[in-house]
This record gives sequence, structure tokens and C-alpha cells, in this order.
Amino acid sequence: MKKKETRLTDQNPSLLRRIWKARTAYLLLAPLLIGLLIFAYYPPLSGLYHSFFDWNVTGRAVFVGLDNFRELFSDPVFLNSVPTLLKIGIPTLLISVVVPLVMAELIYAVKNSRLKYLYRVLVLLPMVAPGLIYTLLWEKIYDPQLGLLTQILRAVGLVDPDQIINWLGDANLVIPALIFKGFPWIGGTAVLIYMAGLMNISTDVVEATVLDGCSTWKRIWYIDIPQLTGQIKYFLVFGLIGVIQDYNNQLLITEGGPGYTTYVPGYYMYVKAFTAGRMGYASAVGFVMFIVIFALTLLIMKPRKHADD
Amino acid sequence: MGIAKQKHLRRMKRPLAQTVLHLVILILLICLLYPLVMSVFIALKNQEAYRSDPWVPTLPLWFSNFRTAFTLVGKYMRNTLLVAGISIPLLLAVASVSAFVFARMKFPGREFLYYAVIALMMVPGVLTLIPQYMLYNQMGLLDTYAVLIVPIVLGGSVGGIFLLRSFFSGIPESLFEAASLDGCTVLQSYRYICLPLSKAILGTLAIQQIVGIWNDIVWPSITISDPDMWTISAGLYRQFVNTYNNNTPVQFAGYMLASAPLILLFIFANKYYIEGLTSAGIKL
Repeated sequence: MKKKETRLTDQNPSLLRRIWKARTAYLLLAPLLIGLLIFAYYPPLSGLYHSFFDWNVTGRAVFVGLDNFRELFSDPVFLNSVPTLLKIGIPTLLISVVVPLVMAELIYAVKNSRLKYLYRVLVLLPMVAPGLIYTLLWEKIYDPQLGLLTQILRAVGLVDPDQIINWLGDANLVIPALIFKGFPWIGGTAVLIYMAGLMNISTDVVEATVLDGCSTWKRIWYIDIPQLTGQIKYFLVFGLIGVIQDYNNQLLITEGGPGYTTYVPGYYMYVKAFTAGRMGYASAVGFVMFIVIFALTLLIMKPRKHADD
Repeated sequence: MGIAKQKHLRRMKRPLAQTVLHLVILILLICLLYPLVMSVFIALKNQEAYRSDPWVPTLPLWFSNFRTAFTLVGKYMRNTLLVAGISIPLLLAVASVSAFVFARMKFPGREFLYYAVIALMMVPGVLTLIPQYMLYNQMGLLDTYAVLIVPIVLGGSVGGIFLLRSFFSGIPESLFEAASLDGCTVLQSYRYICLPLSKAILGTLAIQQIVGIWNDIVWPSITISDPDMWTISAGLYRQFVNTYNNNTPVQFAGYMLASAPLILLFIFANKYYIEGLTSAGIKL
């Protein structure tokens, strides 16, 4: 008993000494940690706090309790923006996870190594245009008169020569159009990240499947996909977080319209903050979205924990 | 005989399968790249040519569109290069030093601090956008370049540390042991072992962040009200597109100009970028 106590008192100075010995490490981390405390840790806490306030652009804050949340959950524009988000977000997310994987498998199967490299470079090529330009380009592709889509459909006879389809202006077409935007969805880094995963699978395993007469489909299903779970999960989690918050299309093309058909919660928050100047109310929207994102992230991450235990 | 025939058949089958494979890939790539390639041609049309044949190449080529577009786009580009030129080196320094400390130095609270940094990756932008705006507002930093630079250095560092720490941890311990036997201090082993080995991955990080700066619309357009200070995407969205609302070819010429630095970056760095992405082993 006594021995234990002395050891405990011994440990305290030794921890301090260990901290003192490692002072270089703390010194090197100081700029980062101080910066993060002010500019990265403080804002979200301030946002959570101010969601209970009437907070205007000048910084004047008046406590209003739960009023912001009460108003939010009775505003039909917000309530309708949630199903809109699901309709746009779920297909977009699935496409962004599955299609690059298919493309990665296709390029992976190419035998000619020079062409293989060329294909990887070409897939990455759309990165040279800022994302905004891609969105504005798609706005032109959807142009009712001169758009590429209308012209192709006219050429193959699916649309009459003088029929005008307003892809982005028609409440029934605008959501499918936003999902279709970006077709064939293979540009960018996802294909490369999947390919890196595929190339990491040991060649022994791949050769063994060939010797065992395993078909390509079986190899993909039983070897590749299980080996790529990490990547798939990465794209699911970060894709989900991205999709829930994304309102670039609304900002650049639809402005939430026609009517309120393409309003999503993120855009609703943006409008309330920077058009209406209601910072507290918009913080409440952010709070609710954060809770949803957090819960969904936990939900996706959880199954792996069980498998590890 | 039977086996030989089977082998022969398989060899016959394989080139056909590969041809089909190449065809499928090519069709997908054409779908991906056709609109992009056509936007180069749209930038070179006059308005009549755009109205009659928007999606096929036409002659003559109107290079004057680029001169018209440059008056505004040149200004945005200068601002963007300024912001990137200051923030990217700072970001690389902060991220690589911090990642090195987390990967190769031992000190009390290391794991706690590391996860405190990495946890920020999970804080969504919707939660931070408004309070961050208010923080910079109350600090009087709106309409300064600081409001554009600070978030890139700090925000980029968080992701950068995540990327770099696992890379630094993967460098064989024996290299560091040899260095310390030769009398290398910890900082020297950062300078002479880690940095030279991590060129590709630092390049990857730099490119990701530059593309991020290029693409950012919301933050610059809410924090900067002076059109002379807008970076590229914000300027295009807030000013340029409205100015040339009726002249699509000039709009596209502006987009081409705006992409030019990224195209150069891509030509020179795609090898590094692909290598870095491949070696980073990004997954959860």
C-alpha cells in the first residue's frame, strides 16, 4: 500500500519531466493548435450556442430559447426541402460510389500498360476545369433550345424538331436532370483511388483465382469488393457528408426553383443567412443538419466496429 | 491435343475481350470528355455560329473572345494566384511539420492531440460556415486577403496531417536510426529524410488545395464584397457570368482562361498526383 503511494508521487514529476523533455514537439505543434482553437474549434461551438439566439450580422444576439427550432420545423419550405434532398442525394451518392468502381475495374482489366496509364490520365482530365465551370457547362447542355441533350435527342428522333424541353425549368424534370448532370460520372480522383486499392491486392491472390479457374465476375465479387471495403466506406461517408451539404447546383443554376422544387436544407440555410441576414436562425438549420450528418456517419461506421471486436 | 486446343481458344478469346473492353472504356471517355472539348470550340465561336451550331466545331475561330474575357478574368486570376501563392507554402509547412511530429516524435498526449485535430474533418461545413463568417466579421477581417488565406492554411492542414501522418509512419524506422547514429537531430531527420521522400505526396496535397481554392465559390463571395479582390470561381459567378449574360462564347473563353493554370498544373504534375494518390492508400 505504501509502496504504491510512493510510486504514484514518483509518476507525477516524471510526467512533467516527460512533457518538458518533449517541449520541441509541443513547440512545433503550437502554431497549428492555437490556430485550430480559434478558427476551427471556436466557430462550431459558437454556432451551436447562437442557434438559440436571434443573431444578426452586426453580432447583436438576443436569447430566444427554442423559437428558431420551432419556426424551422413549421416552415413548409424547410420541411419540403428534406424529401427533395433524399430524391437528389440518394441516387447521386450511389452513383458516385458505384460507377467509379466499375470504371476502375474496367481500366484494371486492360492488359496494355501504356493505354492503362493513358486512361487513368484521361479520367483525371476533367479536374482541369474548375467545378463551377462544369456546372455552368451542364447548364448549357440542358439549354431548352441549343442544349446538347436536346440536340442529341432530336438527332435520334426521340424529340420532335420543334419540341422544346425545359430540363431545368420543368418541376417534373429538374430533379432527374440534376441527378443526370455529370454523366458518365467517371471523372475525378475516385477511379484512381479504387485502382490504387485494386493494385494493392497481392498478385498471389489474383493468380490463385486464375489457377482455380475463377471467373472475373467471381473474383470481383469475392476478392476485389471485400478488399475495397475501406475505399467504399470512405466514399460513402465523405460522399454522404458532401451530398447532404451540397447546394452548388441551387446556387449556380436553379436558385431552388422552379418554385421551391429544388430547395435543399443547405441552400435554405444559405439563403436565410446571407440573403435574410438571420444568422441565429441559419445556425439552427446548421445545428439540425449537423445532428443528422453525425448520426448517419455513426450508423455507417458502426458495422465495422462489430466486425473488429 | 484437347488442352492445346483449349489454350488456343482461350488465346483467341482474350484479344476479343480486350477489344470490347477498350471500346467500352473509349465510349465512356468520349461521353466524359466531349462536352469539355466542345467548350473549347464554343469559346472560339462568334454568337451567330453558337446559335446555329453550338456543339460542333465551326470556322472561323474567333480568338478575340479571349481578349474580351481577359479584362475581368485576368483580375480574378491574379487574386487567386496571390491567395494560392501565400497559403499553399504555409499550408505545406504547417501540415508536414505537424504530421512529422505526430508520426515520429513521442510525447504525452500525442494520440489525444492527433485525434483532436483529425476530429475536425468530421465537423461539417454547414455547422461552421455562419459562425466562421461572424468570427472573421467581428475580427474586422472581411474584405482582406487574410479571410481567404487563414481557412485554407488551417483547414487544409487538418486533411493534410491525416494524409501525411500515415505516410511518414510508413517510412522504415531503420532510416531514422541510421540518421540519429550519424548525429542527426530530430529536425534534421525531418528535413533530410521525410521531406525528400514525400515530394509526391506533398505535391498531391498542394494540387488538391489549389484545385480547392480554384473551386471555392461560397466563401470568397460572402466574405469579399470588393469585386477587385474576388478569386476565380467567385468572380466568375458573381460578376463575369452576369456581365456576359448574352454572350455564351465569351463566357466560355473566360472559363478556358480560368482553367489554363490548372491545365498547366495538370500537365506538369499529373504523374506526381497519380503517384501520390496511389501511394496514400485512401480508405476508412
